[in-house]
Amino acid sequence: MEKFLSPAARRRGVARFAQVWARAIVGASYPATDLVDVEERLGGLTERLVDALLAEAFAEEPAAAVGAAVAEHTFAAADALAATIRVCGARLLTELCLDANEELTGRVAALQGALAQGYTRALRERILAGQDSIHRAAHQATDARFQMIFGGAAIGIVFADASGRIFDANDAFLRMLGLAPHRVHGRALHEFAHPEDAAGLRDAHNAQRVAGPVHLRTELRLAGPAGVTVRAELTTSCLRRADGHGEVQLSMILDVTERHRLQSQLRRQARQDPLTGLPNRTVLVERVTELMAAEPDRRLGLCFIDLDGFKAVNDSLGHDVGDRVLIAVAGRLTGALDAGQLLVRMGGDEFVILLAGTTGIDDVTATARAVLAALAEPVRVGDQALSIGASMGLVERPVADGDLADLLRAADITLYQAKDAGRGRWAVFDAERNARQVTRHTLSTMLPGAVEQDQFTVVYQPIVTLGGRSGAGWPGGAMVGVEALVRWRHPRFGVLTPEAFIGLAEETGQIVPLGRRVLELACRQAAEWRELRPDGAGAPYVSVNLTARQTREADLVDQVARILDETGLPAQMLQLELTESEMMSTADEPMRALDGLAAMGVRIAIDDFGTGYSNLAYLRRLPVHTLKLAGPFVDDFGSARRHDPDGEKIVRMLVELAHSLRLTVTAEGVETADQAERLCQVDCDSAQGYLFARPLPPGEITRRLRAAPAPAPVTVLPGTELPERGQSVLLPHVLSRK
Amino acid sequence: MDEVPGWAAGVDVDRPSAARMYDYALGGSHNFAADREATQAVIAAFPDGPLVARSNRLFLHRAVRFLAAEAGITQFLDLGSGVPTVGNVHEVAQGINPQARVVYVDIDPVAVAHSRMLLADNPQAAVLQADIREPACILRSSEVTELLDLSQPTAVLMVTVLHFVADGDDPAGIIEAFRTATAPGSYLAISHVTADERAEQVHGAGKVYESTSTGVTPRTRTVIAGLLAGYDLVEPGLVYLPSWRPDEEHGGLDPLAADPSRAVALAGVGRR
Repeated sequence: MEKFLSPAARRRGVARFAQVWARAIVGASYPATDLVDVEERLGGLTERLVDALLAEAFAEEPAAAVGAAVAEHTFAAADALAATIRVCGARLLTELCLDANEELTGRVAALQGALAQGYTRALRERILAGQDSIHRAAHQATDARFQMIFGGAAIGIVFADASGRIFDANDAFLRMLGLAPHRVHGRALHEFAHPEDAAGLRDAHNAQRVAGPVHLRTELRLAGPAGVTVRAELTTSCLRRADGHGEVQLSMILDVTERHRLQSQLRRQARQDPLTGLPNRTVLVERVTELMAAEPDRRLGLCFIDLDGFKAVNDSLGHDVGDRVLIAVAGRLTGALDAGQLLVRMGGDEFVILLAGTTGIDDVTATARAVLAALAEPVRVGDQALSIGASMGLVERPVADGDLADLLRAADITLYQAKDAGRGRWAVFDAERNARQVTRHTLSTMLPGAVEQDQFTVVYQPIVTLGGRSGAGWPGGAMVGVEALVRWRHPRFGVLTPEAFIGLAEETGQIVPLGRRVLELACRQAAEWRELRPDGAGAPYVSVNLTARQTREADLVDQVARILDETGLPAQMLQLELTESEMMSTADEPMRALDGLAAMGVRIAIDDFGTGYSNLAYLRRLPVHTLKLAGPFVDDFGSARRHDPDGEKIVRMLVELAHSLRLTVTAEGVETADQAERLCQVDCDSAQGYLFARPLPPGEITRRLRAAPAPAPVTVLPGTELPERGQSVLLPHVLSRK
Repeated sequence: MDEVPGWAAGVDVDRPSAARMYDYALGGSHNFAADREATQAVIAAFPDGPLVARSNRLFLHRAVRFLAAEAGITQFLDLGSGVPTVGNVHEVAQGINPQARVVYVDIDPVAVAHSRMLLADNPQAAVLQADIREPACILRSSEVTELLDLSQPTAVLMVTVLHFVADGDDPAGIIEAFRTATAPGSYLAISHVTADERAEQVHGAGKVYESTSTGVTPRTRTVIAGLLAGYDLVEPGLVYLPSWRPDEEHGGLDPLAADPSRAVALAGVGRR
C-alpha cells in the first residue's frame, strides 16, 4: 500500500482539504470569526488527520482530538459535525490525490468514527459547561438581588447558624450598634442585647432552634460596645432541617429608639409643664386619686398659690420676663418643699402644693409660711429685682371628704378670699363662710358676665299626679308637668343652685336677662317634649318661677308672648310661679301683666302658698290657677309618729278651698310615701319632691317620656267643670284619675 | 415589566427570556427549558427563525468590524446585548483594536450576571443591567461614564432590540436620546424586524413571543428609516440583513444570502 506522499503534494493536499472543509463548516455552523482563521485552524487539524491516515501503524485515536478541536472551533454548531464527516468521506483522499483503496477507505471510516466520538464528547462537555454557567448566572442574579437587599436595607439583618452563632450581619446592623464585622462573627445575637434582656433572648432563640416557632417577634434593648443602647423590634425566623432542628436563624432588627424617645417625650410632656419643668395638673389629679384610693382614712392639705401682681409684670416687662419670673419662682418653691410634698404648676401664675398625711391645718399654714419666706427676696431677672408676692388658699380635710374638684374649688375660693383681703397672705378654707358671704360678694360681681356667657342651665323636677297610686308605689304617678329650676355652672365654684344667686340677681337687676333666658330655655325644651307626643297629648307643662322684679318689667307680657311664639309652645303648657309675698307686693301695674298673661292662656301658680301672710281674699282677685303647697305643710304630713291632725285638717281645708275656687293644688317637697298617701287622701291633685324625682337634666326627662306609655284619653270627673279662666289642656291631666 | 424596574422583577428561570431564546436559536447552551420550549414554538410558527438569528449575528459582526476597522471607532455601547456566548462585540472589536472598549447593556438579570462572569477579567468591557427605555439611566451609569468617553465618537448598537420596544415607549425618543448624548462622528447600528414581506410568518412568530416573552413590534421600512433621522446611513443604506455589506471572508456565508427578504429584518448603520 502506498502511504508515501511527497512533502509538496502533501502540503498542497492539506491546504486544499482545509479550504473545502472550512467552507463546509462555516456555511453550516455558528458564526465565529474569519473564514481565513478557520482555514488556518482546520489546516492544522488536517495535518493531524493526514498523520493518522498515513501512519505506519494505524490508530484512529488522534482523530478524536481533532473532533474535539472542531467542536471547539465551530462552537459545537449542530451541523458542523455532519459537514465534517461528509467532507472527510468525500474529499480527504481525493484532495490528497490518494487512491481510495480498501485500506485507506477503511482508515478514513475509522478516523471519521473517532472524530465523531471526540466531537460528541466535547459537545457534551460544552453543553454541560454552558448549562452550569447559565445556572450560575441565574443564581448570581438572584444573589445580587439578595445582596442588594441585605446590604442596602435600613433594617438590620443577622444570620446565625445551627448553634446560634452569627455568620453574617449586614451594614445596617453593624451601624446600629457601632460594631466592626469581626466583633460579630461567631457570637450570638443575645450577646448584643442589653444585660436585662440578654437571658430572655438567649432562651427564646435556643428554644426556637429546637422547637420553634418559625417566627419570633419581640421588642428589646440592644447594647453596642460604645455604650449605645438601641430599642429594637426583633423578628427572628428559623429555617429548619429535615430533622426539625434549626439550620439558619435569620433575625431582622428594626431600630425603634427614636420612636420610643418621642413616645416617652410625649408622655412626659403630657405630665410636665414645659416652662418650669414642674409636674402639671395631670400629675396632681393622679396623685390625689391615688391618695383617695389608697389612704381614704388619712387627711390631706392643699396650698393653692397665686402670684401677686404677676399680670403687671407680664404686661409691663413682657412675657419673656414673666416666663423667667415663673421659672425662678418654681425654683424657689421647689426649695421650700418638705419631703413628700408635691408642687405642680396649674397654669399661668398658679401653683399648688399637695400635702399628704396632714394632721391639721397647721401643717398647711407652715407650708404657706415657707412659701412666703421663699418669695421674700426679690426675684432677679436680668438686672431687675422684682418683688414677687403670693396669695394662698389653704384647705385641710380628710382625704375621703369630697373629690378633687371639690378640693380645688375650695382652695380656689379661699385663694380668692385671700386676694380680696389684701395680697401677700393666705386664707384658710371655711366651709360655712364660703357658702355665705364671700361667695355672695364675688358672685354678684360675676353675675353680669355669667348671664352674657350663658353659664346658666335649667334642670327640671317632675310634677306627678297623686291619684294614680298603683302597686308600683308612688313614684309611678303620671308626670303631668315639670318645674324649671335654674342652675349656674360656675367655672370656679361648680354648679350653684338658685338660693345662692337669685337674691343677688334680683338685687342687681340681673334677674331680668337671666329670667328671660331661663324662660326661653324652658319653653323651648317643653316644646321639644311636646313633639314627642302625638298632638302634644300627655306632654308635661313647664312651670317657671317669676320674681316680683320681673313682673314689674313693662314688656313682660310681650316678652312671654314672643318667647311662646318663637318656641312654638302653646300658652297652656306654660305655668308661671310667683311666691305669695311677691303676689302681695304686686302693685296695680304688674297685676295687669298677670291678667294679660292669664288671658293669653298662661297658667299662674302661687308658689310656697301658706308660708307668708296668706290673704285668702286675694285668691279671688288674682288670675291664679294653681296653689303650690309649701314644704312646711307637707312636712306636717310626715310619718305616723309625727302625725299632726291639725296640720292635716288645714291642708284638707286648703285643698277644698282651692277646688271650690277651681284651683288645682300641687304639693311640693314630698319625700315619703306616707306623705304622698295622706296628700292623696285630702284630694291634693299633684305633687313634686324627691319621692318622685330630683330635678333632672332635660335629657333624662326626654328619656322618661320616651319610655312612658302613651297617655290614656283625658277623662273629666263628673261634676268637675272646666275652669273659667285658663285653658282646659292642662287641668284635665292634673285631675284625671287613671 | 412596564411598571416594575428590571431589577425588581425577579429572576425567574421558568419564564422565557428573549436573550436566552436568541442564544438557543443560535445553537448555544446558555438557556433553560422554558427558553427552549418557547424558541421551539417560535420555530414552529417561523421555521426560518434560527437562520434569521444567525443572519443577524453575522450582520452584527460585519457592522462591528466595519465600525472598528473602517470607521475607527474604539467605543461601543451594545444595547440589548443578550447572553454573551461567542463572537461577542468585544471579541470582534478588540480583535481589530485591542484598545476597544465595550459596555454591554441588557434588561435580563441572568444575561447580565452571565456577562459579568465572562467579562470579570476584561477591564475593557463592562456590563450594565438596565432598560433601553430609560436612556438617561444608562447614560448616567457608572459603567458608561467610567469606561466610555462620550465626547469622543462612540458606536451605539441597537441590534435586534428596537422591535422589542413598543410604540408607546417612544423608540424614536430613545434613539434621539442616545444620538444627542454622543459626539459628532458617532455611529448607530440597528437591525429591526419588519413585516413588509412575509407578514404572516412574522406575525405568527410575534404572537408566540407575546405569549412567552417580550412582545415584538415589527415596523415598516419607512418607519424604521424615520427612526434613523439625524444619522447619515453608510452604504448600502437600510437593507435586509444579508445584504448589508456581505463579506464571505469574514464571518462566513449568510445562510439567507440567496433570498435576503427571508431574514425579515432590516439593517443599517448611520453616522451622526
